[in-house]
Amino acid sequence: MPILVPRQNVEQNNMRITVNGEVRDFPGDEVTVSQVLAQQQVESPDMVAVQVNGAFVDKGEFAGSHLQDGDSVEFLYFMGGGAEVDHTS
Amino acid sequence: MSGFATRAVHGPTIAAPGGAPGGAPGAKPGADPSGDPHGSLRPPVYDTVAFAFASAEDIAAAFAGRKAAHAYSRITNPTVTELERRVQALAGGQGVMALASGMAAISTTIMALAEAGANIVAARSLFGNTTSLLAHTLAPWGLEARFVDMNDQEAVTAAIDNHTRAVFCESITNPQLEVADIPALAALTRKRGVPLIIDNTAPTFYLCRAGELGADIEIISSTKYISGGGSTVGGLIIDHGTFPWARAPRMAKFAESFGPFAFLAALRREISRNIGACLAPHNAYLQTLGLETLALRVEKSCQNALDLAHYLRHQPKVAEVNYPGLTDNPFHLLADRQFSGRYGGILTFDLGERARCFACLNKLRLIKRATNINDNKTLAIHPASTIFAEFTRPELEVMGVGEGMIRISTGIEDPADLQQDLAQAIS
Repeated sequence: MPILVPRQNVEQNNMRITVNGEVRDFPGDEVTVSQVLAQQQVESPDMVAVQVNGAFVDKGEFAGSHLQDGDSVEFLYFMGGGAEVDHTS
Repeated sequence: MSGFATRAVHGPTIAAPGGAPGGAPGAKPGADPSGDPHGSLRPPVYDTVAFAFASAEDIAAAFAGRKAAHAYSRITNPTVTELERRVQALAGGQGVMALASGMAAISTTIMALAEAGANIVAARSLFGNTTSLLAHTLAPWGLEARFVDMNDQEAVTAAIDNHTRAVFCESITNPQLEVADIPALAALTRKRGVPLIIDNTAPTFYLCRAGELGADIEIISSTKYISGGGSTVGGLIIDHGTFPWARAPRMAKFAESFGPFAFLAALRREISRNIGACLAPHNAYLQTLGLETLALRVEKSCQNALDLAHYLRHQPKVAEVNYPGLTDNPFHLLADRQFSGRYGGILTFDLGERARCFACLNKLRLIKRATNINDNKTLAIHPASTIFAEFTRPELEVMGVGEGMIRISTGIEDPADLQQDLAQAIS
């Protein structure tokens, strides 16, 4: 028979997600793409291209895309200012 | 707020860097939730070249595409972004880019998709400068233009090969007023894996839902109906998010990083950035203003065009009137199906020869002799001696631009005044 442990005594889990190449810890055992974007202060999720472990995620799926511990999320603004190589100055 | 006119007036207000409305830093307590610190109902004009950053890390992140921020107005500008987001709210699509002119939008799109050795399948009837771009400007760079009758499905199919980078046509051609069967063309281009580009300038997304009909890319000269008062020159590229860009040879490298947004990213991060045909913030401001009254003006000018077409066809000196709104016009049924029961603000009529056209144009008192279309003012021009002057007689015959043709672009004046002016000019 399993021993039931009261929830408040369970040590808080963290999810470790690599976001744009940097390792980030998210509290709890559940995190979605939307939450990662919010944590990264992406105010307009419709303006970023998002990949999870190299696969593109449709913007309509951001809220329902649950990440696994160790996943990698990459996001890039496709309409924002700037460019990788620029000669404006 | 789902109606077109309502969305046109109440689109997203001030866009924060990257486009998010609301929550402007430093907003005063009690300020309007639109995001403007003063609650201004009219977004300000950001007439600036560059934008300052809090740190070197921030500017590096913006240049890498990791942070939403405006850096330099050739690439993005808040006032231009505001226009783009408001157009997107009306036209649909996954992104909009506003440029300096309709021709800038066309040339930037073609240069993004095609390369030397490739070809573009284009309508034989097009705006004169578009034909010139393809036949005269881009041909020396090794891009072949294959001009075909867009209503001849077999001809279009035969023209497409493995080197075709796009099929390009106008939803209503100017000045021939031929209507493209967009769903039929879309079925064909999707089968062949080629993007369909529709220049939707003449009806705009108010009358013609190009994306819903099957256009992958919609281009609009916002100089016309959107600016409204003929105030400013501008162009729009709308990506409807329907083409799998990984299949387009020049988009492959962008598709690796941006997936379905490859085309928009390529425009912003390379093609448009390097060509530099950016829309001036002040022009974007005026076009955003024009956008709010688009529906009213389109309705009025379409009614004026229909009224004038009916009037002109009963004048003995007029050999022919061409307007898709006339029930015996060969494109009437197709126009009816695609343009919500209105037929645009352009009509042409035939006076037989150039001299009679010039005499008529010179007698006009109210209607202006000018080359623009979809101004608030009604405009008239002789296309063969102006917009199409660089083409030979045989070329003009193929393009359907006759020596006896006068083009009228109807404005929003009282119809009786327009009729009276034309009556005295023709007599």
